Amino acid sequence: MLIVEHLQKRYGSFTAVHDVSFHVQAGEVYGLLGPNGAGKSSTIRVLSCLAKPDSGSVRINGMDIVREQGKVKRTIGIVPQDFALYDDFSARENLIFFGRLYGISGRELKIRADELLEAVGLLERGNEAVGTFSGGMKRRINIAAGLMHKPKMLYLDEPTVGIDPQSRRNILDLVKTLNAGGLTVLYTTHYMEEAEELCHRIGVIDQGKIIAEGTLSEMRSMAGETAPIRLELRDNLSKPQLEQLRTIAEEVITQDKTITLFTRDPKTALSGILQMLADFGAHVHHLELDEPDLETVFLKLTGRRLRD
Amino acid sequence: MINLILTVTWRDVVAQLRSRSFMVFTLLLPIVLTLIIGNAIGGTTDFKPLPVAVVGTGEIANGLKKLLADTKTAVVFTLADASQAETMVRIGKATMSIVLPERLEIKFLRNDPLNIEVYLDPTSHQRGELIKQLVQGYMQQLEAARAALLGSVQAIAPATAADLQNTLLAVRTKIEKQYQIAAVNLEQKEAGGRSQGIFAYYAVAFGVMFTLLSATNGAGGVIDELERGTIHRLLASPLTPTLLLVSKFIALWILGVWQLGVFAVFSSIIYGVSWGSPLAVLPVLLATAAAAAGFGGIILGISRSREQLNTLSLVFVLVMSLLGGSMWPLETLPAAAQMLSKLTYNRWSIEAFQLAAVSSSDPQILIAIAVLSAMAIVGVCFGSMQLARRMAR
Repeated sequence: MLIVEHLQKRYGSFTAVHDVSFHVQAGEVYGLLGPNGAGKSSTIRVLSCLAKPDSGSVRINGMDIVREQGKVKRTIGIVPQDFALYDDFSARENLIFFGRLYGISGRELKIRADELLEAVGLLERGNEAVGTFSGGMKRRINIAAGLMHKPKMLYLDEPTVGIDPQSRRNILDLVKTLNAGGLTVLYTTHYMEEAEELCHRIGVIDQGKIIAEGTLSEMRSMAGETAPIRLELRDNLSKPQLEQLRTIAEEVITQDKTITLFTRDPKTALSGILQMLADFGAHVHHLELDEPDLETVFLKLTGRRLRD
Repeated sequence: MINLILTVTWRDVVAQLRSRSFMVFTLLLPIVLTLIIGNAIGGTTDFKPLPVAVVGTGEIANGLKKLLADTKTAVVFTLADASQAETMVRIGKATMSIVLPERLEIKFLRNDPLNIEVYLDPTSHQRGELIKQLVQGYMQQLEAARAALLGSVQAIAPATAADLQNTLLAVRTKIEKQYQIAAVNLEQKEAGGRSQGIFAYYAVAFGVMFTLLSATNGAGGVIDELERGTIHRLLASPLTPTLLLVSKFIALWILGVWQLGVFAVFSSIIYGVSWGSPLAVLPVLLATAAAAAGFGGIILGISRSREQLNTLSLVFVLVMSLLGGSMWPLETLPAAAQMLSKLTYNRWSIEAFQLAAVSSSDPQILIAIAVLSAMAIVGVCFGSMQLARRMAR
């Protein structure tokens, strides 16, 4: 369905997307996971025909996004990160307006708008101005607007940023329903829980490069058999102290005053670690014991947390 | 392709027409401002007499009072005390006080120096100046009479005392008959166009100024859309950047036509302004709205944010309005400013509307339309180039 090969996009001297390649199969939800500024939105901009690639190629359903832009645009639906809606128009008017841009008209247009309002749970409030909606409601209309022309593939660019948990749940359920109906989805997020819940396959992107790719189980295996213990200390530890900690843990990653120790049996290792820190005179402000997940993978690959 | 353009244009036009602030800004404000400025400058169709105090008695003083009253420019009242003259103006009871010297007739005939004091309320503008001119004219009229009188007296060469008495009697009779004070008849007639009064002028001048302001506001909407992300969503649809820009400028143009058109109708109804033959006015209106859309394009092209656009548009519109005749008639500006005014949208538009109100066949109208159209094309091209560059980033 979507084939991205050696995609590169520069803005002046800054390379936002650096040699990115991935494939998305029809009917799949593919997650592009990465922290803010990793290059997710820049990738989506190119895939949405909003920016030309500097090199590499992108094909959707066999169509080149540069040479066959018109056809590609009708195949894809875009849900931008911003609320790309008109606040002074009602939800229904917004949908009708975006539908008209794809040549839908008359009765078909109204029926489609009502179908989508119902699908996102806003049929009753369809005639209200979008400007009066909450963030979560706007996000849902934002998705509906991207679906007006029945695209074969939907790009969702961080669709749950800044909304309440209930709206987030609604959106995740909606994406699952759409996918179950056969829609192929490219989903960018920096929330690993969302990627874990929704995506069949995940590409981890950082500093414009795909640094890992695979199914959720493949990604978990990258984290190895170790699990992380995350500690936030009052003061930095000295190099000799860190060396001593390395005798207990398989791997130690430090980031300012935060230390992540990977151990095979964190519960057993914890008492020894805390004892050692007490001997150092270190003050522990916060402690987390995690199961191996995408966050762990990202941390292991980059030395940084996803939300940093 | 046309459907795509119409869809985007329709949205922009509908959104603006629904906006209460747009309606206030584009329609109510120019109507109210025209009313206020028109009245302040004294542009009603009839002259309203101003209160004028005169200190002085005798034939010459009475003649002046009669003159002013007869011209209907003033309601004259007499002050006994000269020391009150300035006070009356200061407290607003009189727009002007005229203090004539005592024993004026004798001083006049003796050709003694005459010192007439005039206190004028500076806010009376042209109408106060008009009364001052009338007083000066009256004194000049008297001076002519005095010269004629002296000539007559010098020509008298009586042989006897009886002859002298008869001659003086004849001269007196002649003076009484021929040298009566005659009031100037100030009758105002509607002649349309440039001469139809200050309301007509400011209706056009403010109409043009607010069309420019509205166009910049519309251009600001494009920046809002860029920041909100709707432009990107539009460009992800089958709409190309060129079609998008064309749609946006057509919307600005339609809104300008609507605004000027509605304002023309309102000003005709409320102030009785005659805009001229619709056939002559329509091309001017279309060209002005297009030029305003072009101006919106220029402001859009040079602004990086909505805040910057608001500031720049205010500065540009005010300067162009000052130079181009939207604040005061172009004829009152210095020659250099009149030359500079040729760079403004206001000048060409106001001139074209004024000429169209008088005659539909004046070739100067076509020149103004051509200049406005050229301004529109330059503005739209510049704005499009800049916007396309920004969207590509």
